[in-house]
Amino acid sequence: MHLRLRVALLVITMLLSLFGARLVQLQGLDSQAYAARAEAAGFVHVDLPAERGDIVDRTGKKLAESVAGLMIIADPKWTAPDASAIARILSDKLGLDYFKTLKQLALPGKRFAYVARRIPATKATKAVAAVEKAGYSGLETRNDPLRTYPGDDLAANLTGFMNDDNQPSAGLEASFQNLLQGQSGSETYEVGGGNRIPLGENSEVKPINGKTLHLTIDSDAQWFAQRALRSAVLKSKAASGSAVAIDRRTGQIMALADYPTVDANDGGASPKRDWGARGVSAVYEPGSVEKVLTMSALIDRHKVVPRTKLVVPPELHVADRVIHDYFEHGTIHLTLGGVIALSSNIGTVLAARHISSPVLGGYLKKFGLGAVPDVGLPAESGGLLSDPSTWTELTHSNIAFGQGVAVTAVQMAAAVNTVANGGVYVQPSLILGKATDKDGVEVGSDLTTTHRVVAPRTARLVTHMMELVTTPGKGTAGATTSIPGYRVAGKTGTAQEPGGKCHCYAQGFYDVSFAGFAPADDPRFTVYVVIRHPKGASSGSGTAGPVFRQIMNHLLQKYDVPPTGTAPPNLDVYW
Amino acid sequence: MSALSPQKALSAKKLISVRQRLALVPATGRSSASRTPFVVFMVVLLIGGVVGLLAFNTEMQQRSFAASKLQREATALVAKRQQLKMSLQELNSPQHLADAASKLGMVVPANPAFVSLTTGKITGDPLMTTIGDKMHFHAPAAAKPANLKRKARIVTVRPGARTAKNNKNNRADKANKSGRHGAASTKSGQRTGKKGATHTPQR
Repeated sequence: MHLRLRVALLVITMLLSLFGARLVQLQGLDSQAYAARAEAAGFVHVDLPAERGDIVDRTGKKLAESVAGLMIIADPKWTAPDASAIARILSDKLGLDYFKTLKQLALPGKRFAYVARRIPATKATKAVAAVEKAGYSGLETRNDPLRTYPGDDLAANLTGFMNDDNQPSAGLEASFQNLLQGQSGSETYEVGGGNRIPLGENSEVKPINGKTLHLTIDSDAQWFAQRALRSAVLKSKAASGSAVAIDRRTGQIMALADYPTVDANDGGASPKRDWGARGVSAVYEPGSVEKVLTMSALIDRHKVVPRTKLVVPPELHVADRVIHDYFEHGTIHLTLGGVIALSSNIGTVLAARHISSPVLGGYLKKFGLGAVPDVGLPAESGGLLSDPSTWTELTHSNIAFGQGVAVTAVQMAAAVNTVANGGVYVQPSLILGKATDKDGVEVGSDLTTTHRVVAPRTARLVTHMMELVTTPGKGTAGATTSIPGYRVAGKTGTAQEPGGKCHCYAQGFYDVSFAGFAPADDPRFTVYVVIRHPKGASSGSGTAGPVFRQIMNHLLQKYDVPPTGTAPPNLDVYW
Repeated sequence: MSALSPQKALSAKKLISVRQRLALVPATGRSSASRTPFVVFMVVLLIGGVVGLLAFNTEMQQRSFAASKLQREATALVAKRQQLKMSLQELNSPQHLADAASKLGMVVPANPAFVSLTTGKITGDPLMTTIGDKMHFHAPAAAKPANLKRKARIVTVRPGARTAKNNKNNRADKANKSGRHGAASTKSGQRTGKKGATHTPQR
């Protein structure tokens, strides 16, 4: 009896110590590993991605949107036995990599595996349905927003795009990443037999969706500008081109086209240099379009008027250089208006001698040259405008007709728009309302600043001179840029760019451009077109001019801008 | 246990003897009959509980299946809506509208003009669109690499040179002149002949 009791006690003690030791092992030593195993057996943790904000145009049309994409997830406990058959169906239907899919479907010891991410919802559900129809189970779909760009290349230079890893690669997608991306949430719950266990453990952090980014772009005008520009760039075999259309009163950018550009739905297929917006990042010499600004400064200082008479020699010696006009001529008698109409470099230099470099430089600065307009795109440039106090006589002369100073297309458009707007500079904007970019800078049309550059009279007189340019029979671009019935003010530009092995003008390229606005006596839009490095015979009027006219035509039509019905001033080119 | 003292054992014996002297208490009314309802109640409660729990669990499971099914349905409907929305956007896109308009023979106007509906007055110069105003809505197809281009081989077949006999003669003649050229031209000749045979036998 006693012996039996003792033995029992001993056995019980041994058992209890064993349990105790095991308890210490489970809770104290290996607790993490066991908790993880328990989780793998019955718990599922999923990310709940936030829906990325849309990018829309001024009318709310979507340029970039997140659609109901789905992710396909697998429960390898169920899919592993038939992994090869399921993988075959999925790779057929969705174009997935067979071996990668196979590996995910057969992950040992897991109850959760990603099979495919960001699949358009219809495709994903069809694929899963096909798998189920074939008699296999263990696949499930979950929300996984997908980025699409309904217009393919429409405004793709502005929106940028998301790469394969769902990271922003360029454009507004990159510069407004914080605003657009939102905050993803997560969910953890228990499953049994592929179904969620009711009343099982469950925790959820709801995702916060990204905000919508509104642009000032009019997608119709943008599309039209892109097509018109593409035709011109391809026709002239040019390297690239940009076109900007600005609402004269508000400075809002209605269209900002670039070519070559990118298909945002397949961004990686295009070379990186075509991803962004050249209109704000590419810097070049404006050429003769800049004469508009020089003339504004001269008239504003009351040095000249459009009827001022100039004697223009065949060539002009400045310092050790000789300045020519693009057309051969003897000594001609041009009015100041004629200098603009025929785009005479010599005439401009002669007139520009009336003001000092600091004065000219000051005006150019007020026109927005040398400063970043900051419309919200990445890699914006402010061009180059050197300190006027360092200008020599040659620099002064060159800058007067657009050499030795560099701008972007948007800068130049905003500068010419100042003349259209009665002498008041309006800061260009691309974001409708306002938004904070990733550097914390707030930009947008609500924050547009304006400042007076020249007097209203100056703007009016310069406009009159610019009207000569588009007048058939008088100016350089009469045939290609006039819009019958309308008064159009414009200016052609041809700038040389050094290039080749010698990095000299002789082996270089041309940048041809045209800036203008209409109707001249009550402008509604300012359009600027630049085409870079065209091959063969090309000019601001013949190459960029038609693009200007097409875009302006479209805008006047779409926004119901009738002709003003007034007669243009009767200015003479010669005297 | 081994430490039990003799005194304690004795008192136990005493206790037993005292008990033996007690009179029997008459049986109370706790008969087996009166216990039945309680037992039945307990059994019913037990069975009811078990069945209820089972039913509850089953019901929950059913609901879970139904929830999964409805979730799938909802997902499918969301997907369908999205797809319809996307096709609507596609139809609405400037590119599609332009293509559709081109198909109807519409062109981009040369310059804007307006008709006032109240006065019937026309503002602007309505001009006819010319070929110079034509716009290309599509990028030109990429040029075919030169090595993929099929070289055109033009063969002039004289009337009456169709028969096999003539062909043979031709071959012989050309082979005499220049081997390669002759062979090639015969080959083409044969192909042309075949084509003629299948499509336009009367030719």
